[in-house]
Amino acid sequence: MRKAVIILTCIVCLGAILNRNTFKDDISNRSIVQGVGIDINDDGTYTVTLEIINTENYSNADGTAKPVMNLRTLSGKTVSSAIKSAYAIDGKTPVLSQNRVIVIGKKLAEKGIMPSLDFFIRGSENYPTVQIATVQGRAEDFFKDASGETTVVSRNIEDILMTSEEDMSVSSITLCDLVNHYKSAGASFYMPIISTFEGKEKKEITSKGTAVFKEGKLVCNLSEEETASLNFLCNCARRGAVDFSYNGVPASISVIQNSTKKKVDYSSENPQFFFKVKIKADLAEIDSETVYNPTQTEVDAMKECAEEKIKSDIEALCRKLYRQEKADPLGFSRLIYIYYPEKFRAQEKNLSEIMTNSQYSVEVEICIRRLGQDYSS
Amino acid sequence: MNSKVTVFQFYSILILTRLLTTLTYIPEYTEDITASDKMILTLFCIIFGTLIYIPVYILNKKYGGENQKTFGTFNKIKAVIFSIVFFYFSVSTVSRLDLFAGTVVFPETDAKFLLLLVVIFCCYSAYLGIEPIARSAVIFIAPILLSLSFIFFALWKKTDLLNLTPPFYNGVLPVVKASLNSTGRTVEYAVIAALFPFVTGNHKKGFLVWRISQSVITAIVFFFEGTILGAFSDAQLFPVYAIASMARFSFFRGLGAIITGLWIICAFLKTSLLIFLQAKLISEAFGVNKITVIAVTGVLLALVCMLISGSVERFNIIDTSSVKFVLILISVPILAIVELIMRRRRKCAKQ
Repeated sequence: MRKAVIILTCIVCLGAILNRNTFKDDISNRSIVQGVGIDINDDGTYTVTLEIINTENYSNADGTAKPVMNLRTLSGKTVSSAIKSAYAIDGKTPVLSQNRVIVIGKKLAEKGIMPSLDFFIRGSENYPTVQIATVQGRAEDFFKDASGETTVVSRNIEDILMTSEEDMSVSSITLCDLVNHYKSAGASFYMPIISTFEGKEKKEITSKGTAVFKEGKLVCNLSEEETASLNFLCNCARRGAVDFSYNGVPASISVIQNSTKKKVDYSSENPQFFFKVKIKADLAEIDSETVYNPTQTEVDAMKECAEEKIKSDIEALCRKLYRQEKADPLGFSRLIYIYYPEKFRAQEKNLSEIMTNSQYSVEVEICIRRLGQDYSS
Repeated sequence: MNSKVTVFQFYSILILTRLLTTLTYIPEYTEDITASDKMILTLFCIIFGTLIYIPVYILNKKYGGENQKTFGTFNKIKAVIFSIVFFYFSVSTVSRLDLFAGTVVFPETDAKFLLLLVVIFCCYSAYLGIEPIARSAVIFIAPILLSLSFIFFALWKKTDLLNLTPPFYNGVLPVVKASLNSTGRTVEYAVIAALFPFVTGNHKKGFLVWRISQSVITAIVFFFEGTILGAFSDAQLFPVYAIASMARFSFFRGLGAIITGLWIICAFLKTSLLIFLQAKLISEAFGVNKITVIAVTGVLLALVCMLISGSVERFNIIDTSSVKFVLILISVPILAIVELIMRRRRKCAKQ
């Protein structure tokens, strides 16, 4: 027994000596970062905005509470040095393991974002699932604009972006997927654009389209409709509404399930891509003057209209991305890499041109699951 | 010391010890090959592994019943070589755990204390002998494989087959090289050679089941790594931990903690086994007290690991593929072949 006590005491003492630095870093000495905004300045330095949980959030005697989050704006030659400089301001070590989102300012997006992301890829604190988004102005201004007494901006952004499976007009990308897209042959990727708007009581956050990047630089923006097509093509959309016109009146289907199969045929001079979009949907709304029960012929006609609408939107998106912008954010060149490796190897340097000359064939198949409170057809 | 273990117990230990190598693999060692090739290399590993196993099997099958101490000097040389192999791999195992702890688990904290604790407990476990280690492996194998399955189940939705690559895109040679590299990192072949006479049951069947199941597990791990992380895995020091930290199931978020637990258990079992084997071989060959050998090994192991702990450069020097290649792919079969020849000659001389 005495031996056991002596051994245990020795182990504890040894632990205390070897880990003496650990005891300095308790939770009160740490800033828990929830969101990071990155901007580039004219002199090439970075401005990093950190949204940090206010650990001193308590109610005062008059019942008023301190804001739940603190914003800290820091500058440095690199992103990591800017973040580390937080320590000199409040004596707290910033902890990024709880970081939810990285917001990129427009200027940085135009200049190229990959160098500024190296810290997040290399650092062991960051999760590969952290969401990435961009804004139309400075990320610093966005955080200042959106924050409020009880608002956790990063959590709001994450919640919105995580709904991309439920709302087709919202895209999302994680750090892992972004790097994966960037490292593939097309070196292109996309990310959601977020912005604020004036709500009833405070500023609200929303996602407004998608930004497309080639070789790390912003090349174009996509509208919300184009984002829906992008989501169809990259199999990211599960649910959402598709509006179309039927006999001159607006109508809508509610997508329940969606799967897109992609194929490539490169037996001829230029590759031909085939996309088969299979959608299961409910008929959601027909804005006609009179409420009526559609016949099977009318349902078929509506399906055709919806299919045509989705098809033309997807084709337009392919034209815009591949012909106009010569970017491959959806990674179609990977299909050539997988199915025609020899041709890919031979043409790797001219890939951008090959993708421009490619043919895109879209087939949309909608299966109407329910007609609503009606079974007359 | 001469206690025996069953084939099931023995290969349960080997599944867990080799699983550690798979879970802690660093992409740098397979940088020339693509995601699909990593899965294919597991097939090559079965072939190379079997080639190492054949002379060991023949030796023990033909002369396993004979007195092991017949060749005094040869036995001493063999004991020293195997002890070097086991010591080297125990340093590699503990240092890799230290690298993981210092990079991912406590990046700002010195993990030397953890390292020291692991060595102390492994020495104690080695002192208890092979049977407690084997029993622990049998107890842990089901929960560990179930935990891994749970992680993979939670990751299933994140897989994207487009992240895979065409087979042999960079040719067959890099895959063969990586397979040899992977086989060289399998200290279990040396463990089989050292412990063969002390394992009861159908060896051939046990080995084949172990080797195939190990390759299947490795291929599954590489499948998830390739389809989820894609090219991102090259940017991660420990990609298996990275995919586990991405897993989500119900309210469970980031299952990296499970992987950390598995690593610690497997590292503990592996280091205990390797220390035990060093003590066994040296004490039997040189007649030294077992406890003395364990204590000396433990102190040396702790000292070397602490020296490596402070620098990733020192870790890279120690954890070299070429050294492991020589230790496993050359020394294990050559020692078995030399002993086989010596025993055959002696048998012929007697006749």
